[in-house]
Amino acid sequence: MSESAAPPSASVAARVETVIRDVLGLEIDTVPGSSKLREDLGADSVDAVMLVMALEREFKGKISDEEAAKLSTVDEVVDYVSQRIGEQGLS
Amino acid sequence: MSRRRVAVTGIGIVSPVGASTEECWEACLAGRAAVAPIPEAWHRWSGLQSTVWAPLPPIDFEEQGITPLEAMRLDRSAMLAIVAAGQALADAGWQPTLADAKRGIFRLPAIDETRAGVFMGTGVGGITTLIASQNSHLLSPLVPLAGRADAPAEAAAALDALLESLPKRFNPFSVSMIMPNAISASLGIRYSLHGPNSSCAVACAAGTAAIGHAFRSIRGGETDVVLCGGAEFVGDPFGGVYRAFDTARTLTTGGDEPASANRPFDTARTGFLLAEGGAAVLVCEEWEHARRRGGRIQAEIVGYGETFDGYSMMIVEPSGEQVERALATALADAGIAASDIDYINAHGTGTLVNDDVESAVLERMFGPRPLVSATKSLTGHCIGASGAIEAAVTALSLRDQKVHGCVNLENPVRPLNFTRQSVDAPLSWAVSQSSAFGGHNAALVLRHAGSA
Repeated sequence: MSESAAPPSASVAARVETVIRDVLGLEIDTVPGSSKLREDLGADSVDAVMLVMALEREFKGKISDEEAAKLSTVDEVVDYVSQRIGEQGLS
Repeated sequence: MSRRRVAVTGIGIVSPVGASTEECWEACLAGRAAVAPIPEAWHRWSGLQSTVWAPLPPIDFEEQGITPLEAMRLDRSAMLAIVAAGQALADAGWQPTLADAKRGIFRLPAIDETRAGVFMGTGVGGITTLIASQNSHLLSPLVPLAGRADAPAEAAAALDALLESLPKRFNPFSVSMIMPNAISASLGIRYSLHGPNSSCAVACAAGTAAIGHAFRSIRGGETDVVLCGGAEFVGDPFGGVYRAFDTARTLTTGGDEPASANRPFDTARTGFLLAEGGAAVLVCEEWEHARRRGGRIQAEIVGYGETFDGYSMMIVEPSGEQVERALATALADAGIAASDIDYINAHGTGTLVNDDVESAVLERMFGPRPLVSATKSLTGHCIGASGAIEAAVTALSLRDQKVHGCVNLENPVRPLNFTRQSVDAPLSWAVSQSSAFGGHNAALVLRHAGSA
């Protein structure tokens, strides 16, 4: 089953960045990992909800509202997904 | 100053007989009706009396311009409306330009957005979104039981099937997806239209009434351009909405022979064929506005009337007095006589009472001359979208001088001039009329664009 193994974390970071760009409609060249979703990238409360749903769709799993509320920077989202991702999606 | 006239310059239809206006109209003229057995799984929960429906064709929403992110926050009814509106705008010669990718907002070039509105009808709005989220909610305590080795095989299979088909979370956009005004609001947001944005929730007459109110808005001077019509989606995965209609004994019981189950105005009719959903949107424009920009005028809307039975939530009042008054009001609004009408696109559901009452009204008002057809014999009953689909079909009939046939009509309930197959006919004036649960009646009069 090695084909369905979790992708390396670099790939997770790229996928997270793509999701964030899509949801927030970002047209900037680079999205620094330290960027704060609300303050730096302009996410409003509806975007935050959309982001969680989009991450669940991309990584196939469920992210609870409590966990989602703790994620404030791009790096925190990448770390969270990297820690939870497995063969069957988010564990 | 002469009276403002209302032109139909764009037509978009998504229905069980086709995913585009061209496909739908072609299927209507060819007599290709939609009917199929309901999903096998629906029989697990109840002994349904009806066993057939009219499913929608596959629709690639992303190809139709709805991104996967947008799809997560739109009920299927609004998505169908967006597809139909996109087709209608393209048909009217407008190419919307993207203004805000994040919000999915476009603009229509060279229009006064403050004088452009939306009037959309629906029967039940985003009900299937609530059903899906509520089912997910109710079954969440059972999630840990899925896959347990000691569960009885049948129960485990049923639970797996349920959980597989349910959303993983209660959709956080539910409120904005369920509300009936989400359909008209989603079109107003998508196309930056800042005039009146109104939702018409009068069940099976909703599409007709929405177009009627749009017509009045343009004629009255409030707007110059309007997107109007209706949208419906009732295909929840477990057939809950279907069961609601079934247990009310409104649906056809002729499912043993699916191809002949749906037969409006036939003496052997047994009820209506529920459609999974559908949508139709017309671009209506003030006549000179359309001419100035070189828009193709496909038909003219010239009259509207609506009345209310005040009798029963679920049965049309037997004398048909208010159906007749809606038609008479629309004719008077158009300034013509019943004898001027060449074609009637009837409500024609296939229920015992509707077809009996409606045909009696048509016989005494119009006699045996005008052609009569029932689009529901092809599409099934698209509830709040049906009146809009039928008004669109009526406009196409006037444009192309063709009337489609009534499928499965062998022994008519009354000797009206029913079409059995599609026919070519000179058409100047036509009527599209609807009645609805609650007791609402609505009628539109349309005119051939070339009739002086």
